[in-house]
Amino acid sequence: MKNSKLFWLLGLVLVLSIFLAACGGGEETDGGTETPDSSETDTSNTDDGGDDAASTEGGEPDAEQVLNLVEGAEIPSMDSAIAEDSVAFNILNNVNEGLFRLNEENVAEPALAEGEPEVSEDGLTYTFKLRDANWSDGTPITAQDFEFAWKRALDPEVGSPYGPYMMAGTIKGATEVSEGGDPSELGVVAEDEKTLVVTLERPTPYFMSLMAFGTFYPQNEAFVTDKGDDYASNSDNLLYNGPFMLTNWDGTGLTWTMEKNPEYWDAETVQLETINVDVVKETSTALNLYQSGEKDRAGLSGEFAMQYADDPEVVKELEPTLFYLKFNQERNGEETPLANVNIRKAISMAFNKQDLVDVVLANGSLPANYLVPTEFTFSEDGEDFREINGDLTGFDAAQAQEFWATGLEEIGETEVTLELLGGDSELAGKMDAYLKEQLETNLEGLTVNLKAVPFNVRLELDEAQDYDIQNAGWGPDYQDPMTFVDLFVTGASHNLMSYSNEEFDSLVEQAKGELAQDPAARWEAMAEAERILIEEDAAIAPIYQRATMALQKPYVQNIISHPFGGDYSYKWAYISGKE
Amino acid sequence: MARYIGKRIIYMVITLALIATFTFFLMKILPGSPIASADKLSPEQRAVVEARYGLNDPLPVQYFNYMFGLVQGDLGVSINQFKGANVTDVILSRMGPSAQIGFQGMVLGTVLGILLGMIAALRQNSWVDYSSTVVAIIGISIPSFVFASMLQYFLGLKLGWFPVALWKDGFMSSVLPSIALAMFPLATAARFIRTEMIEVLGSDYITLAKAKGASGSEIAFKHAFRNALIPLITVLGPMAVGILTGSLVVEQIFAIPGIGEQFVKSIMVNDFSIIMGTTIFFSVFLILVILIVDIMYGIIDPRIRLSGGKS
Repeated sequence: MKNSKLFWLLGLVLVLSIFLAACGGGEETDGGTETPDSSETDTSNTDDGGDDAASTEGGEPDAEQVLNLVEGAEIPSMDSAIAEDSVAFNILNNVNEGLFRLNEENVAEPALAEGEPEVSEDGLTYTFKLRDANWSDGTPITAQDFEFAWKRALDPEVGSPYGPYMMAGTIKGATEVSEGGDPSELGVVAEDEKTLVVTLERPTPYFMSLMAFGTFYPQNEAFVTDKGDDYASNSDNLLYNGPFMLTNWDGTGLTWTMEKNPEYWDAETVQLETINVDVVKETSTALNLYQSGEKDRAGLSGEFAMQYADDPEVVKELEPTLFYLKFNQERNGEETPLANVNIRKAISMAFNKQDLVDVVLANGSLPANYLVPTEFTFSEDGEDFREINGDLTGFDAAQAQEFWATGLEEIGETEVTLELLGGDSELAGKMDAYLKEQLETNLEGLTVNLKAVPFNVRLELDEAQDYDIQNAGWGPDYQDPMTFVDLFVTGASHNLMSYSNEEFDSLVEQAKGELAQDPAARWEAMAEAERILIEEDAAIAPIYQRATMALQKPYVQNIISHPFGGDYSYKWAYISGKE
Repeated sequence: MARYIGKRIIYMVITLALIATFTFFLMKILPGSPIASADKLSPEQRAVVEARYGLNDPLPVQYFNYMFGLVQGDLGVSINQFKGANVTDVILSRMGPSAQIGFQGMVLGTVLGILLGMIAALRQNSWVDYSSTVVAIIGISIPSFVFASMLQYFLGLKLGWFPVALWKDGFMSSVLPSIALAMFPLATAARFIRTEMIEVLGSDYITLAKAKGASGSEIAFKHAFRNALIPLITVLGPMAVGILTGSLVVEQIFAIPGIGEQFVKSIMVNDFSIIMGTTIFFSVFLILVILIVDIMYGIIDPRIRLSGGKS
């Protein structure tokens, strides 16, 4: 048959094209897995909101104030007592409000509270006065609404994870109440309609920033009781007291709207009339929607960051999320080579972080030589916590080799094999392969075996302390260096690597206790603890501080991104120059 | 016939119970906890939250509680995907779009596939035949997410003929996802019909029809096609499976609020009750399709006996 050659050729072309197509289509696993952030679960693919630094000051706002966004996941719950994920906290931050709110400079400022609270001498009692403000149905917001909501978040029947997590150890009696104790023992009392008195377990210097967190928002008791099981099941079964109101949300759907809340006490500041949100889980789909003009913003995760790096519409945003290598000193009851401090120091200095962020990540992330992220916490004078310690370690192959030689001698080995546990996404794979290559090249006699597992499996192995080195990460829960520093005290639930240093523990204890009332000394103590952890003990090896990139239309102005709690505020955002 | 169907229904129930049991225990082996922030909580705090969802009971107790609820039609409540929402409500709210694109994809794919297969068979070894084979191979081998992405990029973004994604423009929103889902049934049907037609066209009664002077189209449609259609029914089951699995990715790519899209997420976040509910829902659907196919088979092809020799 004379056709047969042609047929073969056609077949060959076809087979090739399938391979090519398959190579091009591998982006669907992007999700949160490339960001093994144990603190904020699985959210990296979300809309990524906005970036204040990058939005140039626009001109006059347009007549039509509509913002179109995508979100990376559905809303699991809009009940502020139960919420535990970044999608919910982000929306809560825009449709509700607590005593305080993070402002455009990311400083907690009074919101429903009228001015700063009165704080007792010992720093344990806070008396808040509430401003006159209403729920979206017109009923006034009272101090009882706070008392009710907080007690509800601790009620074991409600089963909130974040209630106990945020309140236990901070608010007096929270631990007992969360375990079924008498709720009236809780240190939260509405003295009258407009006065809320909160008693703490210990002085908490960052308490104001906690008040901006979703778990501490008020709830109207009459409304919640009236709705019963249906409370928060859709946008009609909720009350709002923030800049916007949630509408068109059916409870399980992929779409919702936020509309300006006319009852909001500061409604005159709010310029946007409508925010249309659609859940789009595929990064490529979000980008196509952005390019078709249907959406005003789209997050760039994984390899998309590299692809669009030079696009003029890219906005970069540095997050206070840190990634580092955890060195496990004891595995299955036996000391690992990592129990030796020189071995740890050698490894932590033996990989080039600058190249890693420039070439492998290529998304604006910063090389990190510290634990507490930069541009995260500021003293009362506006000084970044980072300025106290600066860099505590760094890439230095020559010095790493010296430490390595000493370490090997001390443990009496010439060759060491270690397992590096990391995520299973494409990006995590590339990063870990790079680390392996760097470490094996710079440290003679070291063999690194990579183990790539899904996020959930990594958490289990972490819990069992069944790894040598782990590529891990952490994002903050409140705006204070402590949220990072106390991860590594002896026996802490994130430690799980048998690190223990009495001096470190006592510094953290001091910062939590007697120094709580002396901000300067407290910062010094936490800085010293950080120095011991990284410079002296090399208990962990910092890798990078994450940045994310997104495409954003030039007419979108002033979306504010926040370091913790809700990721973004749309209160101050507006559209300018779209027409 | 009634006896046969009754027996099949009993088997169905047994199958379902086995699937539910198997899925239940398999799911419990999944690493991770359905509590999203479990790694932050102290063991005591975790125990309180787990107690709220009955996750701290011994496994057999959890199993019997679940099966007991299932018998009464209670699929439980979602643990973290849609905290507290009734699983039945979740599935019902997501069923519409999935059913629509699934049905459209199935019909479109089967009809086009039959046409393609028939033309290929009638013009055997011509370029038409070869191109239909190529289409069939492409349809089987290109993963639906690649095909869906290509449709989205070219027909949606570049040409602007259809919405890029989302479920907002009624029928127009369903076109691209339906086409993406249609590829698998199209390819399957085309291959099947071609083979069957060629076989039938070579059989004695066709030769007889020709000898009697029947026209070409009469032979093709009246004699050959009808007989070639019967075996196609057997692949309706696998096709339905293809549509279901295809929907998992296609719905995600087009951001359609369907069941498949939601199912993927539930597995990622270990939402036990949603995983169970959706698995059972999918299983019921498939078992029903298979039952219907078997019954249809008996009706269409009298050579196949469903219930022993007596009827």
